Amino acid sequence: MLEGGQPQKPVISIFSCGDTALEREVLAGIEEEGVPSSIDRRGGETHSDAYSLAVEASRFSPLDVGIGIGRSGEICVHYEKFTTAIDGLSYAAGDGNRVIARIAGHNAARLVIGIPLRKVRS
Amino acid sequence: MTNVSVVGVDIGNSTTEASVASIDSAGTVSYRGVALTRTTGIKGTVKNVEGVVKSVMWALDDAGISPADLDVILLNEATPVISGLAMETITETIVTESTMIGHNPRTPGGKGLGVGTITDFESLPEVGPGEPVLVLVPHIFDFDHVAQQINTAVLRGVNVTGAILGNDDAVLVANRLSVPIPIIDEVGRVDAVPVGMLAAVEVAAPGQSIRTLSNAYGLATIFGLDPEQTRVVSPVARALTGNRSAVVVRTPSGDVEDRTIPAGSLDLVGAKRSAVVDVSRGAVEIMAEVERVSPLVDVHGEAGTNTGGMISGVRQGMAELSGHDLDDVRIQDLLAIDTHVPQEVRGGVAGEVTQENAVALAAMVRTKESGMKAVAEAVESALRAQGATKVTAIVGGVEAEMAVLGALTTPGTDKPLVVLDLGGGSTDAAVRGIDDKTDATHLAGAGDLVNKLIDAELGLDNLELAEEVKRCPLGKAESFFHVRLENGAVKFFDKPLPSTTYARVVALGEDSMNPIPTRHSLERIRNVRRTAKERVFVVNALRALRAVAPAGDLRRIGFVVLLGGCALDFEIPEMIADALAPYGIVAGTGNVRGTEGPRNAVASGLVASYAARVAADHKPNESAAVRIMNEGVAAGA
Repeated sequence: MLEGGQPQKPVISIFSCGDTALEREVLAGIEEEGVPSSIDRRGGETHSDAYSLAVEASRFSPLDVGIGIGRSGEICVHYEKFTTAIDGLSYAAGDGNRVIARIAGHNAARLVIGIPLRKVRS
Repeated sequence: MTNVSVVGVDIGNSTTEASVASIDSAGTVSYRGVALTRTTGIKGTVKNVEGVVKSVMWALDDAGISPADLDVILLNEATPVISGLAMETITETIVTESTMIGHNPRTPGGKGLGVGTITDFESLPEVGPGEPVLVLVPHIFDFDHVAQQINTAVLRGVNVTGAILGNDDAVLVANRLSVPIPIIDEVGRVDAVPVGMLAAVEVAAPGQSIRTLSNAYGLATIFGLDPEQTRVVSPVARALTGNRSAVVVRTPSGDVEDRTIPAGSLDLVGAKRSAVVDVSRGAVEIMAEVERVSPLVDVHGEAGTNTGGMISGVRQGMAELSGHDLDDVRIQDLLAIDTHVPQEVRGGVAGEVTQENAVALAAMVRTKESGMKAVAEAVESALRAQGATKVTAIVGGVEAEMAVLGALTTPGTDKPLVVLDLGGGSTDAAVRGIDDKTDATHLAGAGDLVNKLIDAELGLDNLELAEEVKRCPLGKAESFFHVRLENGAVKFFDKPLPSTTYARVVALGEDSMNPIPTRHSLERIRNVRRTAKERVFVVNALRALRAVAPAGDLRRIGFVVLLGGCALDFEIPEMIADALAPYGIVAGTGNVRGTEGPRNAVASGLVASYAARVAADHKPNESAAVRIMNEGVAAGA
């Protein structure tokens, strides 16, 4: 027998071990593009690097797009069909990280809506 | 030894081609190898030697012939023409005193039309209740704070009708407001927006475009304009058409000028007639005049105008290129093309762009006597130094005749035949009638001009990318794993594509993929590419045929063979074939000797004409070579 219940909402999933300031910027980036998102804050589990979190989040997301925010502030955007991290969608921790976090949010949303990605200006 | 090893070399403007062949004493030619390399230096100068030697060595290597066995190298008498390009806008939109701002961010917030006085964000708390205001927010403020302040003001009774943001925050702010207002973001120069002036912000719903600010009477209604003022602002309305959002600010002193720059006139000097034509009248009239006064002897531009600058720029460039005096440079053909160029609005605040009218000019200059004899001597000694100890270099024939001879080896061709050589700098045509008489013409405008048009019309500012756009079909990277091509087919990839190509239009080369970093749609880029090719190659093909056709009648031409690099293009040959079909002409890309495609026609023609002479006299090779050398020189002079 089939179980009833709410269908899952179409959201980009964010798994985060990082700073709330970064989380806020990532969420803002996604919101500005008009895509729904949900965030799951993680404690000190085994997988706490951005890439592993992003992979896990992408599997959880009904839109197949996940974002991982690592403990030290590195951010990774992942699409479920990728087998490795993609250049231009992994962002190292560092100065100007809030700006980068916003771009990461924009790019995750842009993966969903299918428009060209933003570049981090160096 | 009865067989002679010869190599025919064609020095073109951009490529040098070599064909190696063996000729027996009966004049039977067997082609052994070919090679192609970049031309070094300007065609017809001693600098060509490097490229010639390289192509000959490669061709010998390809043929498996040792340099020591090479007997004769045949060079063509190069067409002494070079070409130059220039482009100049003839209209310009200037926003004076920051009046009217068209701006189209990708994600504006809210929707509707808001009219009010522009108010600085920091002075919002001081605004009295009931006043209609548009809030101007610089980059430094966070979206939460902005939304909160606006909500507070609205609670106090301030009539906030819209907002202009520096950051890309419009949706974020709109989502946090208690009363929805239209918001425009990504305004680069917030500081240039005049505070205290009446302004209007309009944002359309997704998928819609603005209605009020793109309508001259809408603007007149909002700002209470009289008929004269409405006339002045109408270019603004036109510039905003199709946008999803816009801001228009009106300052009492400012206005937008949609002015025509005095483009100046061209002075066309023909052999018998001359004419003066105003460049702003457009390409059609210029070309009509060029045709009327033809053959052109020289062209001058009106001093102190853009046209004057353009023509003298071309002249200067050509003088440097050819090493002639400025006074000796004479423009012998001119191709004018109307084009639209996106240009940043002067006085704009967010990098707004309008399409301005421009004219592109390609000019062709006939250089003085080419130094092919000197090149031949230099090639001979350079090749001898490389081990080809018994080689003799001969100037074997005039380029146009050789090209026709080579083209006639294309299966299915016959006289009367026209060869159209679509090169980089010029379009050359040669005709060979039933009576074996050859006539030739050289026209300005070819591949380089197409690159320039594509580059300018798409605002790429990257000629290499423009070349890719010209050469390759387009596609759109719809995901990281597939590209949809312009004909609807889909190409899949095993590895994810680079993130820079995602969702972008790409030029799809054999094994490269170049993203085109603009917001133009695939259809638009395709359209720009095709019209650029049409306006250069189809126009020039018709001009060239009219020039060489018997009595100017295209119907008396039987066959047209396309040669040169651009004949390899994936759509130019079919465009020309389509344009020529109504005249009952068979047109297509050449296939020299049935194997070489549109390449190697001149080199093959050189070998063929040499072989014909060998067969004609049945004499020892040495004396034949000497005799032909003398004839070649005579023909070149």
